[in-house]
Amino acid sequence: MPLSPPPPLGERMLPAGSYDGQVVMVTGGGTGLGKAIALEFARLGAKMAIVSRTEANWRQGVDAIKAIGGTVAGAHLDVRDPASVTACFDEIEAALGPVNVLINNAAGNFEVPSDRMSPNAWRTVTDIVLNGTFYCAREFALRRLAKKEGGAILNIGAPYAATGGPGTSHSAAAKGGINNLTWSLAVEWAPDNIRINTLAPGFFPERDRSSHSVEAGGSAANLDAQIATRLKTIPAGRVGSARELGWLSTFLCSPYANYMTGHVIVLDGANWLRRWHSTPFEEIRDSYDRRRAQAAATAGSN
Amino acid sequence: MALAASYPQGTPMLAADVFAGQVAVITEANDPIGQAIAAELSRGGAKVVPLEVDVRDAAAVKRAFDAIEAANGPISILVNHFANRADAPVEVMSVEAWQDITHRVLDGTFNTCRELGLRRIADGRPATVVNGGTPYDITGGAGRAAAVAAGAGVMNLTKSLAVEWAPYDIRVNGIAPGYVAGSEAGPVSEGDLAVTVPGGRLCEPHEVAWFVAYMCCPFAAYLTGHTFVLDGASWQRPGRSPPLFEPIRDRYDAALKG
Repeated sequence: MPLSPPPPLGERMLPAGSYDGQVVMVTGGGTGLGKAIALEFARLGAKMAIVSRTEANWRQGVDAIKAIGGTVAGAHLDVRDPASVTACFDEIEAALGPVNVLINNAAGNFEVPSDRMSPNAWRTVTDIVLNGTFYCAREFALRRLAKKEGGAILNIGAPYAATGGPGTSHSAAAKGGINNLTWSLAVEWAPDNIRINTLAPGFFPERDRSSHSVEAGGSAANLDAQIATRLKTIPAGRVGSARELGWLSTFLCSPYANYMTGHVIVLDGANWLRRWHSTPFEEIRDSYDRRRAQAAATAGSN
Repeated sequence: MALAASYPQGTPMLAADVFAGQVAVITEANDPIGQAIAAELSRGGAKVVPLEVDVRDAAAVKRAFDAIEAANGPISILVNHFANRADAPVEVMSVEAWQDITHRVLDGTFNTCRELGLRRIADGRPATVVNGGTPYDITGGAGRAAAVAAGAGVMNLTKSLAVEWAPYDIRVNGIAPGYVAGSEAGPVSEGDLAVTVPGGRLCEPHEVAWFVAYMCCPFAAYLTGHTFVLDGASWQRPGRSPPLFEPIRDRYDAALKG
């Protein structure tokens, strides 16, 4: 018996118009969880900025928001490049006005045992996840400070930031850095009414994700098989629905949560609280190779 | 310079029928935080009943649940709220004081959670629990060792119960507010407390209540095992230039004299 299903897609949690007149920027908001979060802000009246590295991606988010009648602009952003971050904020500001809420959702990740990880792989993931989050937060705060106005930042983190992530040590270290950055910036910017929190989702299957799958051998094509396997491991007995992240995001960035800053919220159906003392331990290299081989065999038989 | 004020007390956040037909119980409902939580759950349509019982006594808790459910129907929301407690440095704390506080906060939370869990697992109805705490439950709190040790136990119990009861659709979460307006009994004025908070102001009781309402509502159906810290970023401060350290006994003695 699982946790109750969430209310249906399209239901608003906060009062209609809660984000009227506000500009909300979502990095990596063209696909997957970022797009789902953006849709919930749009439903509450926000003017949305969907920014990502490839136009093909941000166009998907722009189209999705237009489809529900929202106001939206899209722009190019490479979070690894501070000049691109500045240019992106300029472009969005010209199109929609100053950004009031920033969702740092852009990320990159793939599973690889650390002894086989190239320095370039390490640099790429930490550049996107940790450095990109800092560049965007900094650009946002500089502009808010210049206008003497407050704002809210929400970073998308990961439950394994707290525990370590064997097999994805680059992402885990970067996400751990995001948690720590959240605490530092919350204290630094609280006097300026700029709040910053981090939302760490558990397993929220993304059917339209554009990036690499975390699971070795995982792909959008075998997502149903991944869900079936993961269902047996999650105390909640069900996976998360992206709109649940959206509802929590709209709450955290709203005036109802004006006293909350510097907090890391884990939304994962209690999964990271499980202790694995009765789970067989398998070396990450072995499990990586085994799952890669399984995926290859499955692909070959199709 | 401070975090902006939230919406005024009484501003609706969730739909007026979000808790329609649900029965909520809350311990120690009479202080400003308890009253605000009760008001917010009522605003969402819940029937809110104060749980007026010695929570240290499991048999008495059972009788109280029996009486409330006989009058109102099955309880689906439980809020374990404890008002601020006077405490003392450990070396002057009596064993009895330690036991009284930890029995109320930790054992009491266990007793009410267990009573609710037994009932809802038996009848298959979903339920949500919110356990109160403070940021000191994470950091330790000199001068209030008993309450925060018990609170740390509650925070840990919240996590264990979340995993144990997720299969029965019973969600267990927590709320740990920092300084809350109208609830700080100590000798320091609220204005002097506010300047110690990076957020520059105290938390309002209705801000706590909105978080409790969110945790109990269906939009949070995947949230369990989590404790929200709502303290204007106070507990993250490592304190590069804090006021001079004052041994807890000196502060305690000064407060007694004052």
